[in-house]
Amino acid sequence: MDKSGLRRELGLLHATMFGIGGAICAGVFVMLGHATSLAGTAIVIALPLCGIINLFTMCSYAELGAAIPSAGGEYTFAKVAYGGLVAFLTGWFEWISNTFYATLSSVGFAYIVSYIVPTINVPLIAIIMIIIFTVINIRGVKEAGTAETMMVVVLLIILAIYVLVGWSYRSGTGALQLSAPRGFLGIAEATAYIFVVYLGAEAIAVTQAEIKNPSKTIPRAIILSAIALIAVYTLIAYVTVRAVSPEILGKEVSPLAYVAGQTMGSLGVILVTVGGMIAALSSLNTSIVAQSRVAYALSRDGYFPTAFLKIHRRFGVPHVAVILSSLFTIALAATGVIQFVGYATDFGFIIGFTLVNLSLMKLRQKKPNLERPFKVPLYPFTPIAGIVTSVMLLLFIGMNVLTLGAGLGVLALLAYYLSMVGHYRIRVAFGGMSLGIGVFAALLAYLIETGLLPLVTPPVLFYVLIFVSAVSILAGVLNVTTPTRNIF
Amino acid sequence: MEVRKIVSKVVGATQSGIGVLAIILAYILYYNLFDIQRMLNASAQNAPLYMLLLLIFDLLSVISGLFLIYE
Repeated sequence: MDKSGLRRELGLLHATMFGIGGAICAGVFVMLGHATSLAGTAIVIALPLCGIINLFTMCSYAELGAAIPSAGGEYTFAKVAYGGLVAFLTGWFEWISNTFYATLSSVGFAYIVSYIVPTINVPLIAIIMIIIFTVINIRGVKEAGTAETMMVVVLLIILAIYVLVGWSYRSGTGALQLSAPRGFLGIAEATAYIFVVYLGAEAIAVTQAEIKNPSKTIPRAIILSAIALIAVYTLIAYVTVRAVSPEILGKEVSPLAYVAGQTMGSLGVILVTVGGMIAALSSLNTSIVAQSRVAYALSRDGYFPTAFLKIHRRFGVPHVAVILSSLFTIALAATGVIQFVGYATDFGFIIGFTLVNLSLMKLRQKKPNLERPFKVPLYPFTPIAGIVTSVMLLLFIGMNVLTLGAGLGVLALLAYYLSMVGHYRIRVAFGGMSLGIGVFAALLAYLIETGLLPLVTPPVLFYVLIFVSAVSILAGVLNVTTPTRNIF
Repeated sequence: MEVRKIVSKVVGATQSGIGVLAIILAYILYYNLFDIQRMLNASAQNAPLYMLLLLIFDLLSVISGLFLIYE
């Protein structure tokens, strides 16, 4: 058991499956169509290019994960390298992006199910899946790891069948003609668009406090999963664009299911749809593990409430962090807004990648004698390449993502300075706001009752407003006149 | 001091409860479940605004309530 109370139960297989399972999400099943319309058949270049960009940063994750094997991943690296605001920003974006990624996975799953059963309620199915995987995660990290391994093995078998049947399928001349109708720009845009399919493998670094023999297992698992992903995606892209032209793929909602229909018939469509569901669930599982461990680490350092630190006596997992993080995911999933969530996930992960590479370079200078069981090859070229390529990806994603990122950054600064202000002042501030709400509710009730506000409302609303007003004013007075400064 | 503690816990739990109910109401109103928009004479056009206001209210209520519960 780790000194934090977390149990080291994940071996190389489990850890590698966490990496692969975290990355193979529903995205590859639905995004390949638009990517091929951007890059043409040169998608077989764009996908390995994404993988190489990902590998640059995964090398940094491998070095830092082996050298600093405690819970929290990117956040812990940034804390050791920089501390303070940079560390908090890293943890914040990591937590938010994993929360968004869990939402994306659950809503993505529900949308895939809706292809088969169109009448289902998408947000409701997403919420049910989050609850199921929250329970699995509370049962213990080993159970989460076993569930992940089983799902990834089944998924890889489905993808292997897809590739093998697609490989033997002959269409036209049977040979792949490389073409990029929009040239290099099209390949670059496709690379930025499809990069999301590689995100999630860094979950290995986040669960490092629960990995057996971390100094050896972490770098091996990270590099193995990054290379395996390049092979899997390149093969999928190759058989897909060889079987069906990019013009047709670009119009398909689920291009892999369409190609499977061409090569294997209706059985293929069902098989690939089931594969898409499993992919979505495995990335949901990984992101729930990751988000709760980051919340745990932020709580350990006083940025999040101490409740997140509680470890379950029997299962040895931070169960409160798992439950509270899942509640945020449920709230997001209930909206069913997938596009916003997708953009937010991209932005958060790419910022995280940049900060991890910066942390590696800073630590090489700050702590040259730190024991490093694994060292990034070709230093400093590799982390610099990781930073440059990550930032370039942001430029191709678009302005709306940058605007969203700026908003999340402002929210992070607000949260950071609030946590620095101290609980006493925050409590008094909330007491003041509560008083304000109470007075406003009383005024509203008065205006409605006297008819000064021309609103046609049910009579019960007046009594509800009076009740809310009384409770808010009382709560405000109690918070403002708090007798103690030692809260939490 | 003991009386204040009990009052704080009761008021805190009530306020947090109101906050949680406000979240549920926000979603019911936004998605117009049980035809609630007609019952409350709320226009569908303003549903996102109601959702935003209710979410701000519930966030403040839950946090303020939790401060009192864990006093």
